[in-house]
Amino acid sequence: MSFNKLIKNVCESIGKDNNPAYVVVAIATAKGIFRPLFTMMDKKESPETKKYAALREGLTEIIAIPTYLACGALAGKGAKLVKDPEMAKRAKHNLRFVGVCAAALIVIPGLCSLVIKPFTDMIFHKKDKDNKNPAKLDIISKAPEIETQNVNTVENISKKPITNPVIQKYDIAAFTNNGMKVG
Amino acid sequence: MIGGIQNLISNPALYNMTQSTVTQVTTETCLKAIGRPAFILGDKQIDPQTKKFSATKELLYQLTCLGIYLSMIHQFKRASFAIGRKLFKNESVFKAFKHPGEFMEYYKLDEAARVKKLDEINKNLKSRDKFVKENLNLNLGKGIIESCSIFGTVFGLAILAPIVSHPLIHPILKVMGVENKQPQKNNPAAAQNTKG
Repeated sequence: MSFNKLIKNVCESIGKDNNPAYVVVAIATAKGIFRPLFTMMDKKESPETKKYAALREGLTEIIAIPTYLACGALAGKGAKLVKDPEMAKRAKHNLRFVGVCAAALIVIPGLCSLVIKPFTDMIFHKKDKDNKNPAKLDIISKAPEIETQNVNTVENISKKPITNPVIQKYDIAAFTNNGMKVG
Repeated sequence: MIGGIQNLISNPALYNMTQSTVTQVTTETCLKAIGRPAFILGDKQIDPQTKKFSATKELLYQLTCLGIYLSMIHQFKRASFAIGRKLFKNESVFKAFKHPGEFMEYYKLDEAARVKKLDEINKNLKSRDKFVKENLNLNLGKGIIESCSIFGTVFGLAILAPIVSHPLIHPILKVMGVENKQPQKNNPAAAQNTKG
């Protein structure tokens, strides 16, 4: 199929019935590409803010595209209630338009507030956690690891269970605050 | 009751109106300009100053978008027939009508009035070729106007409007005395997103 034939088919289809979802989906697609791009090109903002804003804008449009299509199609289903074919054709188009308007006004802002905040929080908080203990040195020690578990430090001795039967008779806690007071 | 609802949803005036891309986009933008600030103002979790700022900003953004859109979209509509003539040289619809306005006048007429109008066009022709109603591809003519409108809408609302409106909105907000006093730079979560 040549380019002209393709354009002709698209134009004829739009001319026959200009579905209200076409234009909003086209706008959302373009916004999904260009708005994050413009945001990332902004030199005044900090990189973190730019990434956050670009992600938010991209996600908004990703949510918007299927929502517009779904709301338009769902609302159009209501035309089945109309029996007369000519009236049903008009009703389908009008209901699609109402569906798209409802999507733009209520459904998309609602979905965005439900999805975007938790999603961006998940990404950015995870990053924050990763950044809390950053590796400051690239040099890795090649010295052998010393086994410290079997060394008799004060901590290790206190962790060991008392096996001497004479000492086991007495309550160790009773001796802790006893002794000669100096000064 | 049901008959009334059927008549309402299949209203021919609404159908004809919403077949035009410009009407669709204008209606949606007007709804957004009223609805979104109203929703922001109705939110009880935001403090009044931020609410006022966000609602005014949203309203101004939508109004600026509408202004930019309406001022440039007719250029795209006007260019549609020139593009049609270049792409489809043999299509008589682009020869019979000089500009989209003339075509749309014809498109909105009923069958009898269309025959009359076509006779009028044929009378004014200098060449011997006459236009026949059956050879005029009206869907293609309407489609190319709407396709150019969609292209213009995408260019206007997705590319031009954000570039033009952002430098305009902040000075207007300052003049109106509505400013966001919360610092935003160090807090990425506070980055504002104005949805188109």
